[in-house]
Amino acid sequence: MTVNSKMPNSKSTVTLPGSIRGFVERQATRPLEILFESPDPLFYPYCEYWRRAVAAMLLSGRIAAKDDGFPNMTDVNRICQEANFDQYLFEATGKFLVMAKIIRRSGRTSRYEPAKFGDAFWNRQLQPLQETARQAFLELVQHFTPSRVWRPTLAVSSRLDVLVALFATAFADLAIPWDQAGNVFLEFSQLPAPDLIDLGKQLGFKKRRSDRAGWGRWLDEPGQKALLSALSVSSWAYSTEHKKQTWIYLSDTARIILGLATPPELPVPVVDFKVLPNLCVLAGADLPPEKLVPLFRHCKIKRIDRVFELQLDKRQLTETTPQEPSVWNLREVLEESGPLPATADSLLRHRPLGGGEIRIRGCSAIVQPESAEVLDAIRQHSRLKGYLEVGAPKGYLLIKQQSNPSNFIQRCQELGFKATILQS
Amino acid sequence: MSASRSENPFIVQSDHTVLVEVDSPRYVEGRDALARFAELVKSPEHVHTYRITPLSIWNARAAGVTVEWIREKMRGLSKYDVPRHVEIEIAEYAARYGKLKLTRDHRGLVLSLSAAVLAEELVRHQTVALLLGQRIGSQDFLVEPAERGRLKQSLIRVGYPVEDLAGYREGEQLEIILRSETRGGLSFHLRDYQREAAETFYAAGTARGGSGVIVLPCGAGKTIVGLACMARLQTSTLVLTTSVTATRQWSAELLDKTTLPGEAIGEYSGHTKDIRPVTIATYNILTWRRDRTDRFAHLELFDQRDWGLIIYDEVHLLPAPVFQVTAGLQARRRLGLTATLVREDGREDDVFALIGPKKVDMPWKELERQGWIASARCHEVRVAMPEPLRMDYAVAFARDRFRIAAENPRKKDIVREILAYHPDAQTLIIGMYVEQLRELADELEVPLLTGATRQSRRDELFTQFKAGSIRLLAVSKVANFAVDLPDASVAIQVSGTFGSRQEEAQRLGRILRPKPGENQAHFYTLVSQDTVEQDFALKRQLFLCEQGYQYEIHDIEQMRQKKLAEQSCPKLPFPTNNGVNQ
Repeated sequence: MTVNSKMPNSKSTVTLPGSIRGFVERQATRPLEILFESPDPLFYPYCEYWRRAVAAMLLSGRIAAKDDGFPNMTDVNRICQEANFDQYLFEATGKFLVMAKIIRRSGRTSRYEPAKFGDAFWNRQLQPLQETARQAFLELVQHFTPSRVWRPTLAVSSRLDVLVALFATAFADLAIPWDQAGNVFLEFSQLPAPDLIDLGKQLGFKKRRSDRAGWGRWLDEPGQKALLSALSVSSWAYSTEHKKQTWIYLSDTARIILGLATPPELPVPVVDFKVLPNLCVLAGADLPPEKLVPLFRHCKIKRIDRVFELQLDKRQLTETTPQEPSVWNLREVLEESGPLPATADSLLRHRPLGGGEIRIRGCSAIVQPESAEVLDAIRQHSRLKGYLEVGAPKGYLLIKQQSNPSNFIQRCQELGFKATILQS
Repeated sequence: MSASRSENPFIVQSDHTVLVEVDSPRYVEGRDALARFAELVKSPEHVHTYRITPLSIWNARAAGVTVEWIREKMRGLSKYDVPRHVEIEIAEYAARYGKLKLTRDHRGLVLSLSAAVLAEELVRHQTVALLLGQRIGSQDFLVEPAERGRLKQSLIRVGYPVEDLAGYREGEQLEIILRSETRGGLSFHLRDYQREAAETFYAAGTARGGSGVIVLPCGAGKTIVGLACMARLQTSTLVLTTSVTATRQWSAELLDKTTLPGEAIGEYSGHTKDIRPVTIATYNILTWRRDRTDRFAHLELFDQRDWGLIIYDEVHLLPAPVFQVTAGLQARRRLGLTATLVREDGREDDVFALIGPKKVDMPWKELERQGWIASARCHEVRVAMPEPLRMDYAVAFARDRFRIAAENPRKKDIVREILAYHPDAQTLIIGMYVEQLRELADELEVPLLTGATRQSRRDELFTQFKAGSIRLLAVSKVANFAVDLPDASVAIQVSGTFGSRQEEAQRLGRILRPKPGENQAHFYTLVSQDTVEQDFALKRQLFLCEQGYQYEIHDIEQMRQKKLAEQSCPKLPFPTNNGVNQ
């Protein structure tokens, strides 16, 4: 059997060795053309608008990083509710971005910052993305493998990505039942070594006879689960329902990252950017992070799509700006879209009250005299003024923290002032 | 992206919204195409948002638009590729239209389905099954005439639109002809958009027309469109309005612009119960009852004549009991009129299902460009609160804060200054709190009109205002709707109903009637700075912002300080009728 690794963008045509061909034919597979009436066109890997939105949200500082570097799910749930975004997809994407070193926890703080492959991600550079995504896949296998399970090596040395590449070639355009997938991977990995090596050679992988034994050790039951989870989180495999059964198939993303298919042309970048008078900000998903991150930090997220829809909101600005004066940064960013409408200009000019200074001082009681004359008399009285704290609000008197309010009341009565305690 | 494609106006989002760039050279082409298969959601400056919904696709299919045409337009006018699932879903929505048809034959009303499978699905649907009559074939059901509205409502909710081809009762014949010269001796003819709106509603008298909503800005002549529809149909008509004042205005327009004699027009309100071939009633009287357990006695008006047309003026205010009655009136033609199809209770869907789909929606700025309504400048004037009041505000309960801010006494000084800037303009001072208005009216010696003002006094004040014998009028929310004050060119809003978008739009509408000369109106809204009133103002302004209006924001304290620093005239730089006074 001769297969194209992916029609019509295949790099080359490979011939499946006999044992592999026989193995594929024995499996209960479904061609993708049966599962999907009109298959989606080839996507450029890791440049979907929602993935960029997740990265921008993580970098915005509205989601804390946990000690293990993954996002705090309480924050994730809150922001996903606001943005009407699937929190499970967010969680998976966040994990992938961390594992792929696109973002990382900043030192010992709970903030995220761009990591080594941040630029490659934002600028859609395929080669570094291929490098980091393969590494991330292996790290994810390690992450999903229970710590009590012993393995002779770390996942990064397991070459499971090579196994996935061989598998993807053998099962090109075919889906397999989800509940059998782990076992099919295991059995596939134990096919005759020469045939696997031959297929690997055709795909350009280095010959290593030891792989077969290593894969077998990694693909016990917990290992199979870890492999499937890693495939899913890194978007290397998708599942779909057909006739009451769940099917899994390897994605174009996996094929492109593993070098089995040539990527399509880079899609036209969506870089529209507008601030509207109704305080709505429209920002294309392909704008650089310097623009997107402040927007996601200071605006309400209304819609995650190829053009993000955000809303300038006074309450949100008040909550986010006291921690840093970056509302001015936001203003600079917004001004790049053109002259600001009066409504937006006014909102950004407004100094958020949340950033004001708060001075707290203790007192033992607050006194409301019945008139300005009485207040003045008490303040001037030589035997009463010692009880009073300075800086009381207009119309009120404050009793010093160390003074006893009962003594003050008693003394007032002795001096002829009528005093009543309103609330103890 | 090719240069030509980058100039395309559409960005199709994956959630079926379409962003349309107004500055694109192909904007007009795009707008005209979208009007046929999408709904305009908002239209602020620069970018308008449309939404493709099952309803909008069904409306398009009803008007003969094909899926291929929609696909071609979307691809041809999009800046980026159209998401594939959007195209697939549009095709799926479109395929649903025409699967269910409601017709009338010798057996009565018959609902015919395109497939037996669909019939099986619907009979298993709880709410739909209750409304279906006897099954007379594998794909046909009889329908009780009284359930026609509710069945359509239920079927739409489960995703199946009914093509209602059962027609309407013709109602009593009534000769209504539009005059070419008004009784007042002025030349009169329909404007193009008014004629088109009436023709769209009429649909050549076929069952495809005859029910729906026409959305036109205040001052664009919705009443005239109503008259044109009446003249097309030549049938007895029940007109429902929001107030007695509006009732009288309808009556005056009918007498002035049609050949109807006075004795053919009746008023049905708290004052008079006069049922004539054209009867104008108020929503208030229809929903009046002695107590909460009593029945709505006046709803019988719907059956007291063989009405061929029912007009719902200001349909966005339609009260719930009238909705219920309307569900049983699907055999009569129904016309809804409004400037703002925004219901604060979110019942736009019921308007669609029971009155009919939106037939015409004319952007406000479009009519302003054509000169049919006055151009308006909107100003938000921010007024600081006096220091003692500021403390009262800070310690007040949340529910009291809005009122404290709205009644900020410093607003009085600003009202005076604005009046001084427009010394000759007919000006309305509009507010929510009667006490606040009373104080203002007393200080400025301006007549006050509130809900407590007798109808005769209201009519007298409106007449004097129209005649120009009084220049200023303070009005409470009773003047929010359907009050025609053609010469008012300045409105000062001192307080409003929290964040009501439609109230803001309706109040602006009071000054949008076209005016001789420069055709310019000014709308001022006074808000207390750094209070909840400012937040509510932002929400109130959304509808108008979406219609393309921009608010100029004036911070009074900043202006005063700047002026003092410059040691120039301390007066505020509000624009005058002659331009901006700097």
